[in-house]
Amino acid sequence: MDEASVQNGDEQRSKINYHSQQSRSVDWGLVLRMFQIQVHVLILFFAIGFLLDSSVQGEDQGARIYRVQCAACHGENGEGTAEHFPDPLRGELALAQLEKLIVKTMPEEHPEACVGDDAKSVAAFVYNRFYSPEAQQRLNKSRIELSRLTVRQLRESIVDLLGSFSPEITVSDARGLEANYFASRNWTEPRRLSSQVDGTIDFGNGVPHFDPTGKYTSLKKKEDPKKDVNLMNQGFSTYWRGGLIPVETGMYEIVVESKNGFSLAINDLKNPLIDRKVRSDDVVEHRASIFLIGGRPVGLSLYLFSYPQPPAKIRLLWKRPNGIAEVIPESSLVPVSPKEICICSTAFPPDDASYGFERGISVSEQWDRATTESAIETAEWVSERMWRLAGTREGDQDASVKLQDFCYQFVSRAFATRLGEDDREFFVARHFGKEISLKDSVKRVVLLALKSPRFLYPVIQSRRQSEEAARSLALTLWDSLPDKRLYDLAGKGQLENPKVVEREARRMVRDLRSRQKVKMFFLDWLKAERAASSAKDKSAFPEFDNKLVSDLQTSLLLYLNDVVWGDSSDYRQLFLADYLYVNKRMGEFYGIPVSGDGFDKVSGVTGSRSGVVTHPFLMSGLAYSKNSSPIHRGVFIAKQILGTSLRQPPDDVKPLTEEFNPAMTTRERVEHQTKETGCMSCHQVINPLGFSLENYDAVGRFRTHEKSKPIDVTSIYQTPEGDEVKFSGARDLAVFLASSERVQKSFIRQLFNYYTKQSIDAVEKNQINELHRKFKKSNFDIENLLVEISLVPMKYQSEMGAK
Amino acid sequence: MSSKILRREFLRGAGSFALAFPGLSSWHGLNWALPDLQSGKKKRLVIMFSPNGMVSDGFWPKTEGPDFEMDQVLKPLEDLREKTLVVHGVCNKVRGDGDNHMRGMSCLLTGNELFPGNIQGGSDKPAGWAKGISIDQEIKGFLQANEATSTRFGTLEFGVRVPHKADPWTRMVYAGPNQPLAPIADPYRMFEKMYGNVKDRENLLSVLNMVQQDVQSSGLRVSEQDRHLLEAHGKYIGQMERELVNQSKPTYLAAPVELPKNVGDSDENMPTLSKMQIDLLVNGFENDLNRISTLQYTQSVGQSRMKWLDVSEGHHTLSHDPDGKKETQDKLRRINTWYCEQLAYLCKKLEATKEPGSNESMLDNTLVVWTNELGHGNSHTLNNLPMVLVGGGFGFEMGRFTKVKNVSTSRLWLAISHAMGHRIDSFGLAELCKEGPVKL
Repeated sequence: MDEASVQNGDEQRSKINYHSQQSRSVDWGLVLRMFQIQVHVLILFFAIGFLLDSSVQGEDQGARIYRVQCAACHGENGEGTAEHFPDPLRGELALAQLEKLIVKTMPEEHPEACVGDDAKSVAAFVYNRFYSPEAQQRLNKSRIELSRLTVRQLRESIVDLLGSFSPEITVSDARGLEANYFASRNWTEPRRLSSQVDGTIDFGNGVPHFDPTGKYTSLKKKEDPKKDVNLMNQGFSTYWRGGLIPVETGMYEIVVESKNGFSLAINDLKNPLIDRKVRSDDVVEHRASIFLIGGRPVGLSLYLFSYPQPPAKIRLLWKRPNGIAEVIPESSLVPVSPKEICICSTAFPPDDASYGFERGISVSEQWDRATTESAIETAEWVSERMWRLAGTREGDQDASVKLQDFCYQFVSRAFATRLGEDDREFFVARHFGKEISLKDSVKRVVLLALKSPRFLYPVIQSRRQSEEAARSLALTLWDSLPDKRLYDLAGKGQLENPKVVEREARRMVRDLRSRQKVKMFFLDWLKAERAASSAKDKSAFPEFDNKLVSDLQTSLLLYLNDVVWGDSSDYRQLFLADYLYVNKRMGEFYGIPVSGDGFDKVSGVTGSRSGVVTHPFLMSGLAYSKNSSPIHRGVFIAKQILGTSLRQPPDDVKPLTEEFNPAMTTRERVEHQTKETGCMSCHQVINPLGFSLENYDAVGRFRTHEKSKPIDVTSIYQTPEGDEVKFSGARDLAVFLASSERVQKSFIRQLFNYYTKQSIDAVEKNQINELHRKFKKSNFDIENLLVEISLVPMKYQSEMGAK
Repeated sequence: MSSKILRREFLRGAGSFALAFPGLSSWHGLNWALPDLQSGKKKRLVIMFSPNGMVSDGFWPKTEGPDFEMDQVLKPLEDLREKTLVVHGVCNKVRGDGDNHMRGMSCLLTGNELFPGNIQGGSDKPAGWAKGISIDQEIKGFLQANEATSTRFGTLEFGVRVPHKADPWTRMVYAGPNQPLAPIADPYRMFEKMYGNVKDRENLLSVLNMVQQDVQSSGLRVSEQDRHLLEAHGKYIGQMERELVNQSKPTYLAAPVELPKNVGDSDENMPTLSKMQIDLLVNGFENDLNRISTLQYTQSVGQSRMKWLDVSEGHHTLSHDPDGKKETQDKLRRINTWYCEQLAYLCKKLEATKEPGSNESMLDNTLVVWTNELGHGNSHTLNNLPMVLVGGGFGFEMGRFTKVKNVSTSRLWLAISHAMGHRIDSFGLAELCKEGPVKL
């Protein structure tokens, strides 16, 4: 509803209501409008009435005033009325602020009708009955809802379900690929030139150890000093082996640039993704697509040979989903080869994210079809490998028995329990028989298990306490099913012991699966998607291209990685850290000297960087293409960091452009445009937060002047509790955010919701305070907080859907 | 990947989700097997390949015309003499990089040169893949572009004992320059490709009822407030079940072949594998999955050991022996006679199969071409490639032996392409097509 129509409506209503006042002594005409400072910028319509019903006389004064002066527009319980003011009356102002607001603005047009004790008592009534967050929580007792697996949970579960049938390979912190070089066309030990680890495969100017003359005199001596025949003709080869860790989930384009013969395999190492052993034509670029899951290492092998003539040049690149083509970075390559994993590439409709985090609270036809398709995809994968998975061979006498055992294990693990005999008959035995091939039997079992609600809705299957703990930990920390170790512990009932559960949680939280989830949370929390797609004015910032944006994101992730997983994990460093990861491209752009090829951790960078809020990835993301945007920055901090919700801005307001007054600074334009009282209800929160970051321009570069005027970063921010905080720049803001209990709780709330896929409001009321107490006690150790969060859902199992 | 996606197309039903994949709309989906309602006869093509050159003595007839001799090698075709045309004088005239085996194989159906590359045979210059499309794929493009002649697959590439490696000696079919297509040598995989979606549908249908039971019993375990979620879920499952039942109704015209089980990929099993693949090939035609098939036995320089013919040496090794070596010549004749028996089995099966909905024999609407990458084994010549055409209805005068003079393979492929209705002026290297389609 835009302002004009509200006003017109008011006038009309006023006339009618005056009329009724005359006949029924009700002064309905005294309708006022008021803007509420916080949350939904509520426009409050108060009405004043003189007709006192005998039934209300004994009530508390606040309630009485509300009923006669306010309820007509705001509803009996502040729920709003469709006719006058539809937004519910709730928010986050402190009681004193609410009272002040009522004194000043309510009832609309006649604020003097409710002042003093009246205002005080009605404010208390409104606040305690329905306005405050506590009241809302009490009223709307959110409930733990039955949830299906989210898309991510389903994909992850399938990987781990099948992964549990292979020994697990531990991926350490070592990066790069194992490389073996030979002065021969194939792997020939006596002609080995080197074995080493290569960080990246970026050998556009020739691979190491390659001698274009093919003489390899050093080898000749070793092999046979008298014999130097055919040395020229034996060719040259390199074998790279290891694993690839995808950054995010989606379709990747893999690009190999080489004129040589080569063969590249990923995940399924038996069937090359790109087979170019036959070199044909001087094609340099070879591409193939493969669906990969973020944080899930897959095997990689690349064999390159030069025969019969040079050169030996090769580059290995990828184009991430929505990303740019870049040499696969060292951070995504590991020198150990992971086992083949089952990747479900089926396209799913997106999960419900209307509450700010993805969760599976609805089903649709599309979703049902996608689950079927993914079940068929998995059934195909399993049936192609069923002999190995079941530890038997085609034609063996006991093949059918072994396959049934495998199927029993498969279904049991899918449901995270040990199936009873009835279930074994239903899910496994009845699919085997003479009239059906073993392959189809196995496929049917897989289809049935993965379509079963016991798999798709994790709480439906009833489990022993120990099994439930295993499932709950895995789902919360990994979005997945338990691993082999957890199944084993659960099987022995050892997870009935809370100490063992906690010990396992501490092990699991450091796993790659957990790290990926943490990373995804941070990207979500910091709204990285928006920043990743930011584009700048080409003439103003010609060097700001998508390669730089990609580097900026990497820089942020490296930093977050330090904060969460570094030796002294401390949440406050999210705001206070004074360093930045910088590579060459970034260094040149931001004027920060760096030494190496990779990312350097640089402290004391010009412009006193301070944590996430000043990181150039966010600063450039929260800006226009030529100018900074204090409003975007302020809104981001208010919503994401402080955890307050702001009403949507009016649709018809466009930000003033520079042309409005070329002499004005960005801050001056924003101040000019938002100075109206109506705007200030929100902008008095937004603007001070945003102005404190004005030292960072549209690309996040530090500046002290704009249009020859010094930047003004001073501002006064009024907290929802009513305190005033003075900022004179980003550092002040950062210090405030780092120490704010409100920010800490907002962080816990968002982390909890993201992790458990349930609102923290749905569990015990005191949960957030309890988590906050522990968080504080651990000196704000994020890893510890994750462990604490992971222990919560298993306590509420009985409430989480299942009877 | 894409074939898997196609196979699961049945899941998407007719709902709006299918609209998200406009690229798939040309797929014939569920009615692919319904009779071709368009008038006009179907025309089908099979190109069968066997390797390592022909043994001249015992194969080539001496008398031109209808009274040609069917010597030892061609004997198996005796019953089909009236439908057989043996052509002498077709030469692979493509030169350039690569040895004769490589060019013999990769230029045979493409009429095009090989790219420079890294595959070296003998002392010739190393080479890569062919620079152009093969004739079967060229005609496929034509047939698939027309609704009346387009089929689910267009072509199917069958193989028998083709090794699991990719080089210019193992590939004769090309979808385009540098795009060799691998034949499927595993009959079970071919079956999966042809009928996999039917199987998926069967499997899915067999469990959906149980899923429904499971959903219902799960519904009893959750609270009243949450039950709606499972009810909705159950509704979608019921919907899919009904769709699948409806989809299962239009059945294919010919039942999918029942393949013998557990036949491994080995030389000893070659006769069984050959029969399985030919049965599938004819079965595919019956269900009109495709109009063109290639059938590739082993590869150029293939080393099959045909012990069932009492031949224990590898085929390629034998083919190098001089003509004077009688024992070897005899073995090579036995080998090529066996290949001719495969051709005869295929053609007789086609003859015995009636065109769906008519009394015509399928062979009358099919042309089968049997050829080789070399003319004569030990000389490695690319001239006078063996060309045996069997079938009818293509306008060629069958039932004779004819000699043409030094005609390029491209001119023969042009003639066959024209007979299939695809009237192109040139195919492969233009200079080898100057005189147009060969007149047979």
